[in-house]
Amino acid sequence: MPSKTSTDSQFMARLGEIRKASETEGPAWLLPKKEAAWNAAVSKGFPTRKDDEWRYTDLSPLFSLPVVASRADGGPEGRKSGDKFLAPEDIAVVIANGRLPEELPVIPDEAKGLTLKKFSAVSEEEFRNWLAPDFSQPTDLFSGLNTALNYDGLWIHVPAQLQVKPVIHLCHVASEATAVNVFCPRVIVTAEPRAEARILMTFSSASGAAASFTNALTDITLGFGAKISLAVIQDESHENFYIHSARVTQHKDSSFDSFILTTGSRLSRNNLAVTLLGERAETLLKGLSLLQGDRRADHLTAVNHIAANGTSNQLYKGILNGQSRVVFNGKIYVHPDAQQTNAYQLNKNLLMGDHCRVNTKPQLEIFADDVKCSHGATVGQMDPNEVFYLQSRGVPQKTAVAMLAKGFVDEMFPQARDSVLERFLLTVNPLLGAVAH
Amino acid sequence: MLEIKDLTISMNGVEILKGINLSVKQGEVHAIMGPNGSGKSTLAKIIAGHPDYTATRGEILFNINGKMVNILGLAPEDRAREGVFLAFQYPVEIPGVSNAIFLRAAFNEICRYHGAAEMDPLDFDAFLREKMARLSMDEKYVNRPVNVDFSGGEKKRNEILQMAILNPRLAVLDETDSGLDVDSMRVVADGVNRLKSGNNAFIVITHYQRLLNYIVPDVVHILKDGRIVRTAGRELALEVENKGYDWLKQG
Repeated sequence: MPSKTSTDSQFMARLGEIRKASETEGPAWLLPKKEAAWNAAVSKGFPTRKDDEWRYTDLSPLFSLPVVASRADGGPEGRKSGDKFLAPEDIAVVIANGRLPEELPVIPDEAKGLTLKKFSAVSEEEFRNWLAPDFSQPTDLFSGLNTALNYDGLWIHVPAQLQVKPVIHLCHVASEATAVNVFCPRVIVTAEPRAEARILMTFSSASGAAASFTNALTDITLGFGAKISLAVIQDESHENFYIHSARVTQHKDSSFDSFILTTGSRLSRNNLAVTLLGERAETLLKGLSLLQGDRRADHLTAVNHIAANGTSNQLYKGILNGQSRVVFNGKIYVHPDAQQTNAYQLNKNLLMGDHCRVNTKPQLEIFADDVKCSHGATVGQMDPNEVFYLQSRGVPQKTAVAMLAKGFVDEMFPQARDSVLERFLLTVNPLLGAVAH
Repeated sequence: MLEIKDLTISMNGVEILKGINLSVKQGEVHAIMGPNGSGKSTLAKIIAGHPDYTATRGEILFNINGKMVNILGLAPEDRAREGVFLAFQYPVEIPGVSNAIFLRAAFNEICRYHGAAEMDPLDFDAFLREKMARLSMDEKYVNRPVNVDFSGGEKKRNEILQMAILNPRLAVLDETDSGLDVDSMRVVADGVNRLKSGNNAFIVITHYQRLLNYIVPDVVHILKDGRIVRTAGRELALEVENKGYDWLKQG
């Protein structure tokens, strides 16, 4: 269809204009990468629904966005939308309208040794030692665009043995009132052997903010025995377009867990690729979509078992109302050398409305013969027997439904309450009432 | 207290209950026995208000504030608040909702309905633990999700626990003895006997006479093919135990 082609090429052209603004920003080592990434993106072009990974999500509404370069960080007023997610004990970086702050936070004594550095301050040597691998990974179109359009990225480095107690919080806020912006935040996390840290990424938009397009890229590398937790909360306005690609590389004995909470938006695409490169690596991926109206959320996971004795668990849940829609595409690859792998995947969805929809697609490719793998998916309405059971004890129907929906969600939080969970509940609790209706 | 009159229920054009008449007075224990598929569980469920069943004829009158009210028109939660309780044959698992939270929510709903003060979490916890101890239930069941990973016996005890907490006026026990060993049965029966008073009534649905050694019925009914074919004293249960159901003609 020529009209569609012209729309996405027009969009690419608008991104080209924006790129000019950031073309010369960043350190010398980065400029050729940006250039190469841009050229690759232009020749690759946008995926269509003929591409397997975009089969259930239509990108065309994105192409009609009149995007322009973001000029300002929104000022202190604009940053307020993220305030509810901030806790005083966090090591917090407020990334307003895609821009890192002038000054990065001072590292408290209890996290001494932790490095937070802008790409613009990273030396050639640091680049070669820590960041280079992430710039040579094969990229999909949106990751490439992130590199091409990013103003400045953030490098988080956790040295060997250090257990970072405070939460490292990357608080993204969108506040531009009129212009439609593209934000391309980039983070690279490198954890040396036995290092431990928790990273929270929140994405929110100020009330009255114009639509925006967030195209985030996060790379995490876990050294031997390292432990990293990644929590992501996307709680943006309905008008936003959001694509976040997280790529995780795990070495021997490392342990990674993630929890992605999304309230959906016009487009909310969450790519999470984990490569278990070393033996005995463990990974636990959780996702929760709470959607109402005509919001959408699309999760693409790819767990790559390269080495033996790895364990991966995926648990993704959705509660949908109205005409909302969730896509879950969960991939597991077990390579021939990855014997004794345990890889599990479960996707459960609760439909509260008559017009909501779920597309769930497990994809297991197993090339080792001594493995335990399973997958499962459920899409359904609330079990009337469960509702009746509660009613038969005097609980009114509406309360029963709300209790069951809360139970459906609470099952995902078996751990004791901590500061990250509190932040999740800030979004979950008010929304549950609305979605489970 | 309970008057069931000509209760008839069809499902998909097939009559499951064919004109049940049953009268239960305060302080009485009625046993309902009968072969598989005779309609016992259907009767239990329609008393509690299960949405799958609708009466095509008849009524279920229940004494509410001195007046006999047809409860077929009441939502299940309102029946519960008026004092109707069903111990489920297959208690439902509720993942993610802890037993304590569920029980307190149910208890407080009923308090609120009757204009009584709600119990705060600490007081309720003490109240709950005392009731659990009496039913020899391990404390680990306080915070476990409702019926999830409970053994068959623990699920049935959990039903009796809920009954003890909600203190109903009419309790219907639907095959509470099925799948129970003798010790558990004694514990369950003990729970019923302790609750029994001149102000409440029980309908005990069972296949076997065994439970009735522990919960002694005043009246025994035999339900067969959707009809009550015989009503007598507790000796009827023994007779059925010896002779089976075949000798009883369909009503």
